[in-house]
Parts: sequence; C-alpha cells; structure tokens
Amino acid sequence: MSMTNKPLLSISLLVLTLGLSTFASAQSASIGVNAAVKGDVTVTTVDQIAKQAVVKEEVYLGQMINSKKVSSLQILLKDKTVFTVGPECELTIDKFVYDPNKANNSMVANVSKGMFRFMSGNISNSGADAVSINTPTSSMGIRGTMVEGLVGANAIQIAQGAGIIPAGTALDATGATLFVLRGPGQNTTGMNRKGEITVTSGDHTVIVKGSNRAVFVPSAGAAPIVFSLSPIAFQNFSQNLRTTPTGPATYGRFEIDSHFKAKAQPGSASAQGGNGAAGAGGASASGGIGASTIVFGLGAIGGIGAVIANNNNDEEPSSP
Amino acid sequence: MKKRNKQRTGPHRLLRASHISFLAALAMSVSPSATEYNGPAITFEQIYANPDDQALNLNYARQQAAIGDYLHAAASLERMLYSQPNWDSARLFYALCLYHLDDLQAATRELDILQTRPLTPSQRGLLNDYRKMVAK
Repeated sequence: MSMTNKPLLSISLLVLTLGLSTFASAQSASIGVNAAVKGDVTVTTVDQIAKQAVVKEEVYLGQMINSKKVSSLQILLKDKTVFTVGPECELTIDKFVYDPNKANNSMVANVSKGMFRFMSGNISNSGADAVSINTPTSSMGIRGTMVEGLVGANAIQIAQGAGIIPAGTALDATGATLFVLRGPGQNTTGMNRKGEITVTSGDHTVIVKGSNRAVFVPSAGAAPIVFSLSPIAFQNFSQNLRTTPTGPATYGRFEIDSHFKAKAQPGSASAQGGNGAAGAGGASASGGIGASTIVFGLGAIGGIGAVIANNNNDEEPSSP
Repeated sequence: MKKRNKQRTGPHRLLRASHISFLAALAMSVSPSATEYNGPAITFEQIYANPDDQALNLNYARQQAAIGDYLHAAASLERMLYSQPNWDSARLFYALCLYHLDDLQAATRELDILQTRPLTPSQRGLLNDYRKMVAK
C-alpha cells in the first residue's frame, strides 16, 4: 500500500466506526426474546424497519409490536416477565432496567390498542411502581401479578355489557381501557406474591386485589370504575388470549406430579386454599400490605363508590 | 425412485425427525407414572435460550410447581399450549397451576375443556378432585 492511500484508509475506518456505533445505538439493547408466535405479528425497529415476528428472535427496547386479527405473540423478557400481545394490539416497551443483583429495577410499556396479558417477572419485586403499563387514558402499576388488559372500543363494549358506566360519562373510543387482575388471588397457595394492580387516571387512583377484579377507565382523567368481570366478558378475553384444542389429543401424555394429588386430598391445607407456602414458599409468599385498607363492595363502583369497612384483603381508592 | 428419495430429505422428514426426537426426550424425562420431578435443575437462562423446547419447558414447569412457583410454571405451560393446543396433559397441569394461583375462573375454563377429552384414569380422578375444590 502506498503512502498516499493511508489517509483514505483512516477516513474509511472512521466512517465504518461511526456507522457501527450509529447502528449499535439505533439497535438498542436486547431485553427479551419471542417465545411463541401465532399468525401475523409485525415488529418495527426504531429505524422503522418492519418484519414478521419469529420465535427465538431477540426483542429490543423501543420496538413497536403490532398484531393482526387472530394473531398473537408471547415475549419472554430477561427478568422472567411474560408479555402476551393479543390480537390487534400495539405495544412498545420503552424502558427496561434490570440487574438481578440490584433492587431498583424498572420497566415501562405502552399499549395504545388491543388486548394483552402480563405475567410478572423479577422487576415487579422492586416495588409497586417498578412496572408500569401505560395506555392512552391510564397507567397501571403492577406487583406480583397476572393481569390482562384491553384498550379501545371493545373495552367500552364490555363495560357497557356489565352495566357499570354511569349515564353521561364521556367515553374515549380509542383509549378507553379495561384492566383485569387474574391472580395470584387472595387464596393462592404457592410462593408467588398475591397480585395487586394500581390504576391511575388523572388525579384518581385505585388499588385492586383479588382474582377477576376489573378496572375500567372511560377516558383520560376520568375516575376508574371497579367491578367483577362477568363470565361472558371473561370468555371474550379467553377467545383472544387462551388456547383451545383444535383436534384430537396428539401429544405426549404424562401423569401429573403427585404433589398435586396430595393437595387435592380432603383436609389438606393447600387444598382448602390456605395461605401458607406449598413448597419453598417463604420470603416472597406474601405481599406485606398495610393492615388497614378501605374495601369496596362487590358491585360496580366508581371514584365515589361505597366504602364498606376496614380489611386487609381487598381494594383501596386513593383519589386526592 | 428418485422422487421418493427427494421426499425423504424434505422439510416433512425434518419435522417428523424433530417430533420423534421430542417424544423420545419427553419419554426419557417424564415417565408415564411420574411421581415428582427429579431431573437436572433447569435454569431460566436455558428456557430463555430455548423458549420453544417443549421437553425443557415441561420439566421447568414441573420443577417450578414443585417449589410452589405456580406463576412461572403456568407461564411455561401457556407457551407449550400455544404451539400444542391439543396437549391435554399439559392443559390439565396448567389448570391445576391456575387453581393454586387462585384464578378459579381460568382454572374452571381449562377443566371444562378437559371434561370431554381422553384422559388417563389418574388424570380423570385429578380433574374431578379439582373440579370439586373449585366448586367449594
């Protein structure tokens, strides 16, 4: 190589280095992996490159995930969180800070439309505000939880079907949100923390505990309405987020481990839904919630709903 | 003759081979009359690297359920049912995890589905026991 070519080589290396660093920053950090894909699910990178989601492909911060009808994607995040993107959903994970050796981890996801399911991982152990799922009208904080959500006109339909929307309530057809806490419920028998969600809309906040309890936010800033999800509404979620056999049994049959049989015996503490840990329970088995909270009744309630009693087992409104 | 050979090296053969190897792995790792999980410890990192490995997910679910971590057992089983919705044994296992997570509505849904599916006598007994517990 002649001496005159050296500056050219240096410039080329500089350009290449700059190009690589730009690529690296645009690519962002891997935060999870596609664990299961059904149908037509598109992943759009921060560089606006869209492609079909594929199992085992890494998920990056800031990617937008869009699913079509009868399509869904299960994402496994590095902290063990499982995020299921249901049909016609749009999801972005905008913040993911996770170091298993640290306690101040956090995650923020945005769901602008559609249905999703979320199963907590380790980040939710960092505190009640460590995991947030935002929608156009509300924000949900999650603690040790299986939760499902729906954003848009279908959320309004379910709320209307339940008869919980007061007359004259303003409804945001694109941003109305329904959250449903699935568990672990108050009678969970394992080592998992009892589930709890905190839903905030404007100045209003409600804390919900107990399986099948739902929160509907009709529009931004409106008081959240708490109610129990009806079997029909549950079926709606099931059709979109759960599986159903499609034919005869074809896969390897196995017997269920005997500890389940033992728990099904009459008189067994866990069979009766006791509150002890069934195995290595212990440290993370309970929620450490304050002893005195205000309880809502089982009927539908809004920000001014009936306050019943002092109990450590249910829900708390904390509007200002 | 040539055509037949070509078929044997095609994607169907690969799919069949992977299906057979999975069943073989399953047979080795889960005996038909399993009592408790006593296989090698499975780490989350292994699951993360192989989220579609059915045998690995099943054993991870068994391992986690044995220590009372029904949440992550259920998550693994959901993944398995996603790709194999006709896997009745996995669905029964999933239903029991949901019961212990106190999501009775979801547990009932899975138990209802299994009511008309072919189960072993032991599985049928477990199904009936848990149905009674849910109804209490």
